[in-house]
Amino acid sequence: MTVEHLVEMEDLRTWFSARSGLLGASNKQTVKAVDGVTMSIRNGEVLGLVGESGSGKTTLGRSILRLVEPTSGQVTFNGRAILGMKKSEMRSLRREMQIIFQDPGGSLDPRMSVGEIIAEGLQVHGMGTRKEQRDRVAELLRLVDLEPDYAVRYPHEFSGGQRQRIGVARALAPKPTFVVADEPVSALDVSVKAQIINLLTDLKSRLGLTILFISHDLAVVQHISDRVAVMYLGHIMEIAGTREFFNSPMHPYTLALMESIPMPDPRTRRPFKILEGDIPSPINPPSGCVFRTRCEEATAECASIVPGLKQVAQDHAVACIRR
Amino acid sequence: MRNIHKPSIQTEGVCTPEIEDVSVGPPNLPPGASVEKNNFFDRFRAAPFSIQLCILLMLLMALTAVFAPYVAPFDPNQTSMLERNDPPSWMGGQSGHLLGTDQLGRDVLSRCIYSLRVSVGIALLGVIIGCMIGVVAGILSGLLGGWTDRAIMMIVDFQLSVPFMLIVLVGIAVFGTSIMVLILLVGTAHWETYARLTRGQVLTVREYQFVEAAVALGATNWRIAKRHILPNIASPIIVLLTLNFPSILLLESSLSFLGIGVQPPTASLGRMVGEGRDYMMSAWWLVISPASFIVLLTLCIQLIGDWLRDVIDVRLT
Repeated sequence: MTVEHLVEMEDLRTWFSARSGLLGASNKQTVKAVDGVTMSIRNGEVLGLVGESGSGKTTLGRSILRLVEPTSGQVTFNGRAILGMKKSEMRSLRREMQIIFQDPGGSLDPRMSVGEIIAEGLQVHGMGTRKEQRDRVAELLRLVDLEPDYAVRYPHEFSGGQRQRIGVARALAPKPTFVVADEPVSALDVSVKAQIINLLTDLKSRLGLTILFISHDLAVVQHISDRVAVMYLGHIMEIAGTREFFNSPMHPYTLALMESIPMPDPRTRRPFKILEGDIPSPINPPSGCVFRTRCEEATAECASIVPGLKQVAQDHAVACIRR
Repeated sequence: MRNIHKPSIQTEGVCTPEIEDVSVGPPNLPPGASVEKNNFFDRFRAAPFSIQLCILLMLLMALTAVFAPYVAPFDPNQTSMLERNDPPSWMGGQSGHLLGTDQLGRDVLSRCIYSLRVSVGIALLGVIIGCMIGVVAGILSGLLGGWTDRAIMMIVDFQLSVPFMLIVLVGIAVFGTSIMVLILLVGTAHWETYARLTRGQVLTVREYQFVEAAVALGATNWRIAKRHILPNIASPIIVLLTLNFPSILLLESSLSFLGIGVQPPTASLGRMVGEGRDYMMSAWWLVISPASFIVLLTLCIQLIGDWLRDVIDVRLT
């Protein structure tokens, strides 16, 4: 069965309650990490999700996989609603949706050999006999350009890039159709970064994966994604095909982000100012458009109207009342 | 809280390239993992001399305890009024007892050997019971959280707030003094330290990303506890175990010393020290002999425990 949209999010909200004050409940606050995201990921595409620190992009990725429990809304995976699914049902569905973590060190159990780490998914889902699992581990190691002999070694014996490859192999072991790559290259140095990105691109085309690629690095996202979504304070601000996105960005926030890409030529004139200040607290987000406090074009109206995503061109939607 | 070594997950680059297999590895070997190249004997040879000595001494004491009837030169309860407080034979003793005789003319060496059996047996079982109760309680507490956590921690706080001697006295008043009761009471003596340590460790480890990765792979809570959490919290627990063993040994000794532990004529190390106290000025060997056994035992176990912690830690190998 193939569906056009492998993953669909509908008005997805993930709020965390943060308590403060001496007696706990006296000061109950809500952090709106993800606040009403409606978006879908097409079968076989790489959707790049960008945003600065604290924008909620990582929480969104985890909410889709139910690694954090969303507060409301719905996530549909391959036509099946996964919020409200029973625990056992969810566990078996996890075979099809995997995650690659940012920190390649912390995401590998230091007490397990590489072989054990990669085979865990196979064991959990009872895939194959012990011998078949061993063969599959060797195959996966070759797939991510590592030696099959490495299976007996331990994570701390490897470099950051190699560990990330192990993380990729683990995620791919149960043959998932959808992978959330949560800043998989942010902790790596430049040359290794390129290797991992090429590996992911290669794997995507070979295995027909659908990937949600979370990053704060626009250059990386441009390289790998088919479409790009921009997130700010729990909201999707703009979503467009990669070419369209980089050729004609619309949202003021996107424009500001583009400005932050370092240019190789220092004499290049920049039409926009670089964003100043920090992202506002998600406990007390601004009314109306969440970006208005840092927006150059903000008007009085922006404080009262919450902009929804609206179609501005073929495969291009923006959440701004001024576009 | 004692000074416990936490697993430093981020430790990197302290390894040699030819790393070997670990003993904490689960019994069912995963695909790709080689069978242990490094068995206990290799480990033993690689250990420092002091540790080798400790292990040998422990083995010797264990064998002596197990085969006490064959090793002991005399019947430990055979009294002889003519040979009371006779010094060791190499100190001018007349009756040829290697470590002399006590106030009833019983052979001190034989009594020490039999005491070893009783004391180590009680302490070992007690430590195991306490560790098992504590670790299970700690894992439940840390992993499940909520009211389970609160209930378990309330019991822990309760035990910490009541002097343990009182609990033992009540226990003995109710159940009487038998070795079984003593083992159970001694076993519950320190479970709360294991529970607290384990809970704290679980709370730390379960936040690590590899646990989240296991959840993402679809692993059950049980599997996560067994495969990921337990191996990662094992080393501080083992250290606590070895720190605890001597104190349990001493607890049994103090109980016996007070007369509410092992009952005469059964010998235990603590009881011998207690009984010999009255004769310390005239017959020092009554105290020194069992006391040396206690010191030797506790020292060996502590050193071995320390060594074990390093060995079990894959990243330090």
